Amino acid sequence: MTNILYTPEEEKFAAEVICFLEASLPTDISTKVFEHLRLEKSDYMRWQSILAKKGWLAANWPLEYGGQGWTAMQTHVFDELCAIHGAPRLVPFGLRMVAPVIMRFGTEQQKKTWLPPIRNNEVWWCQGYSEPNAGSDLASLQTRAVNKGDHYVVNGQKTWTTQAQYADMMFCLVRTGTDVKKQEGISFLLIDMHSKGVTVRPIQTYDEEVTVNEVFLEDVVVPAGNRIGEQGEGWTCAKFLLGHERTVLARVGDSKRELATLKRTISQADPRGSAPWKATVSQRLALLEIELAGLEVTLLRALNSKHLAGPETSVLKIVGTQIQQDISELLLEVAGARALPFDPEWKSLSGRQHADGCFSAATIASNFLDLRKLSIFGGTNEIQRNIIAQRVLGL
Amino acid sequence: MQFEPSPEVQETLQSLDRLLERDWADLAPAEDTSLKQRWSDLANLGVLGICIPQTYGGFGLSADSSVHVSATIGRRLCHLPYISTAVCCAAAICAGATEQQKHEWLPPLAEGRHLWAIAYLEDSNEYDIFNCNTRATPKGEEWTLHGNKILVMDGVHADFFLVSARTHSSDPPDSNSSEELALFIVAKDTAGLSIRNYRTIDNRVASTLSLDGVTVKKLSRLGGSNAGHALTMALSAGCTALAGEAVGLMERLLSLTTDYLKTRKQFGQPLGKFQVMQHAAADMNVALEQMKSLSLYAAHLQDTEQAEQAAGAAKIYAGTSGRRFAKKAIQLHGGMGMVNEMPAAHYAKRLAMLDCWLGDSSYHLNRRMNCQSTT
Repeated sequence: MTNILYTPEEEKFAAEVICFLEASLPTDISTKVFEHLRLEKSDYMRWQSILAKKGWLAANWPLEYGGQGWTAMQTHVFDELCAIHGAPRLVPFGLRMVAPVIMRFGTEQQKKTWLPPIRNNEVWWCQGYSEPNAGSDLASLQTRAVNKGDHYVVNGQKTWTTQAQYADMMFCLVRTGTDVKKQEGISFLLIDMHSKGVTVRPIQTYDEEVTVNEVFLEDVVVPAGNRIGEQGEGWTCAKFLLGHERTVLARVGDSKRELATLKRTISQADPRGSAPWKATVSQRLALLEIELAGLEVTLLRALNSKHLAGPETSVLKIVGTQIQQDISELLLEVAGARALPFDPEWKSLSGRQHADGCFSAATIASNFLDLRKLSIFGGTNEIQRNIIAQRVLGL
Repeated sequence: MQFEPSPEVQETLQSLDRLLERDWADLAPAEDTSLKQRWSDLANLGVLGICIPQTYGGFGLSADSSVHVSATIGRRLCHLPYISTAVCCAAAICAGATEQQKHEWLPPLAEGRHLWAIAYLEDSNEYDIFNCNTRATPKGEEWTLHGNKILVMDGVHADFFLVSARTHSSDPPDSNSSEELALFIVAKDTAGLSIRNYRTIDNRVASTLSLDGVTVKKLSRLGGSNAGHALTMALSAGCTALAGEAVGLMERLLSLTTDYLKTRKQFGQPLGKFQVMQHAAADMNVALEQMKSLSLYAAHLQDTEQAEQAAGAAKIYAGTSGRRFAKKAIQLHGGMGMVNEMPAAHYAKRLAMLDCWLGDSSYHLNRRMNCQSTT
C-alpha cells in the first residue's frame, strides 16, 4: 500500500503514477533533487516535456482546456508522489498560477492564446508581484500602467521575481488608478519578457545561487488584450491566486522525501552515532513525523472540503513551511562540521564527484539557508497569522 | 478516511451536546451518586455503545465517532467516565475477551447499566503496562489477586474494574514478556478490595485500589493469553479519545480566549487589535487544526497494525501542544486566566494535565522510537 490515508481509488491512481515515475523520471534529474543539487532550466524543461507528452503536465486542468480533469485530491497524490520520487517541482507560475486566473477571468480569445502553450510546456512564466516598497503590503504597489486605448505603457520595478531570467512571460500586478481605494486601482497584465524596456537583473542570494531577480519596466508597451479581467480587477485575480498557492505550499511530499533522507543520514551517521546522540535526534525526528502526519490530514481535510481556498488554508502554509525548515535544520545538525566545506561548483552533478568523501554534506547547509525563503514567500507566515487572526478568529 | 461525522453521528452529537448542557454542566468532580441515574440517558443516545459491534448490543461505528463524542464532552468540560468505560474497557473487552465474555459484559456496558474503570498503573511502573507487580495466583477454580493500582481514572463510579496482573510467580518478574500478563474482571464490592478515592488537580476523581487476597472466578480472567495486546488496544483507544477530548477543550478555550481579547481593552483598544496577541491566538488555531487532524488520523488507523503508533502520535501532540496551548490561553487572559471562577482557567487546567493520563509524551515517544528501531 502506498499510503494508508488513500481511498482504494486513490491507491489505484497512485500505483499508476508510481509506475510512470519509475519508468520515465530521468535519474540524473532525481539525483539532483535528492542531493539538493542545482536544477538547471534544461532539467525543468526536460521533465516537463516528458509530462506534457504523457498528457500529465496540466492534468489538473479541466477537460475543456486540454487537461485530464484531475480532482484536487488526484493532483495532490500526483504532486506528493513526484516529490517523493525526486522529480523537480513543476514550475508553477504558468501551470498552477496564471492558468487558473485566465480560466476564471479571461476572455475566450485569451484562453485560446495563452493556455495551450502553457499546457505544451512552450512558454516559461514568472510572477511580477513584489516591489521594493510593496512586499507584505502588496496592495501598495507602485508600478504604473497608463491606459492608451489599445495598449498600456508600463513603468516600474518588480523584485524577488523567481526564475525571471528564464521567463518568456510575466503576469504582473500594476497600478491603473490612483484616485480609488488602493486595492481597486490594480490591474492584472501579461507582459512579454522580450519586450523593449524589460530588464532583468539577478539577485544573488547568500547561498550564492541566483533564482530571484529584479525586473525593471521602462516604457514597456503591453497590448490591452493582455489585461486579464476588467481594469481595476487585478486584486480580485491576485487573491483568487493566492488562495490556490497556500494549499500547494503544504508540500507534504517534499517533507516525506526529506524525512527519509534525514532518517538515512541519522542511521549512517558515524562516528557521531552514539546511542544518546541518536536518541536525541531521533526524538526530534519523531516530533517532526507527528507534525507531518497532522499536516497531511489537515491538507486532506482541506482538499475534501468545499471551502478549499478560504483563510483556513493559511494553517497549511504555516505548518508546511515550518516542517520543511525544521527538517533542513535537523539535517544540518546531523551533518555537524561536515556541513562547513562549500563550493558552489559542488552543487552540479559533475562538481559533486569532486566533492565526494569528506565533502559529501556540502549541499546541506546551502539547502538549510535557501529554505528560509519558505516562511517569507507566498505571503510571509506573519501575514498568514494576520489572516487567521482577522478572518478566522475575527480579531 | 472519515473527515466529518456522518449526518447520523452529527445528530447524535447535537443531542449529546444538548443533554450535557442541560444535565451535566453542574456535575461535581467528587463522588456524585446522581451520575448513575443520568448515565442511562447517554446510553439511550447510543453514545456508550457507539464503537461496540452490533452483535454485542452496540452500533459498530468506526473509531472517529468516539473521537467526536469525546470532543463534544471536552467542549463542555464535563467530567464523564466516558473514556474509561465506553472507550478503554470496551476496547479491552472487544480485543481480549472470549465470545461468551463479550456477550456477557458488552451489552450492559452499552446500555449504561455497568460502569467500568481500567486499573493498570502501579506506583513505579512509569506507565509501562508490562511492568506489573500485581500477582494472580491460581487456586482451584479461582484466582487470588495481590497488589496495588494507582490513579484509576473514574474508579469512583466503577461497578467493575479491569485489573492487570501477572499470573506467574517468577521472581524477579520478567518485565519484557507479555505472555503472563492477564486482565481480571473485579467487581467493586469483592472482598479484599479496598478503594480510596481522591480528586485530581484537573477536577477528576481517581482511585487507588488495594487488592489484598481478592478472589475471583476462573471465568473472570479476560480471554486467554493476549492480555498485553488487549491492554495495548484499550490504551490506544483511550489515547485516541483523549486526543478527541483535547480537540473539544482547545476549541472552547480558543473561543473563550478570543472573546476575552475582543472585550478587554487596554491602551484604548481591544487586546485583540494588538498583533502580538493576534499571532499568539493564530498559533492556537494552528494547533487546534493539527490536533483535529491527528485525532482523526489515530481513529483512522485504530484497526491497523499502526494503531498504537498513531494513537501515541495523537497523544504526544495532545500532551505537548495541549500544554503549550493552555499556557498561551492563560497568558492571553492575563491574571484573569488564573482566577478560579473563570471557565477558561479550568479548560486550561484540564488541557495542561491531559499529558499525565494514559502515558505521557516521554513515554509515548520512547515507545515510538523503540518500535521503530526494531523494525
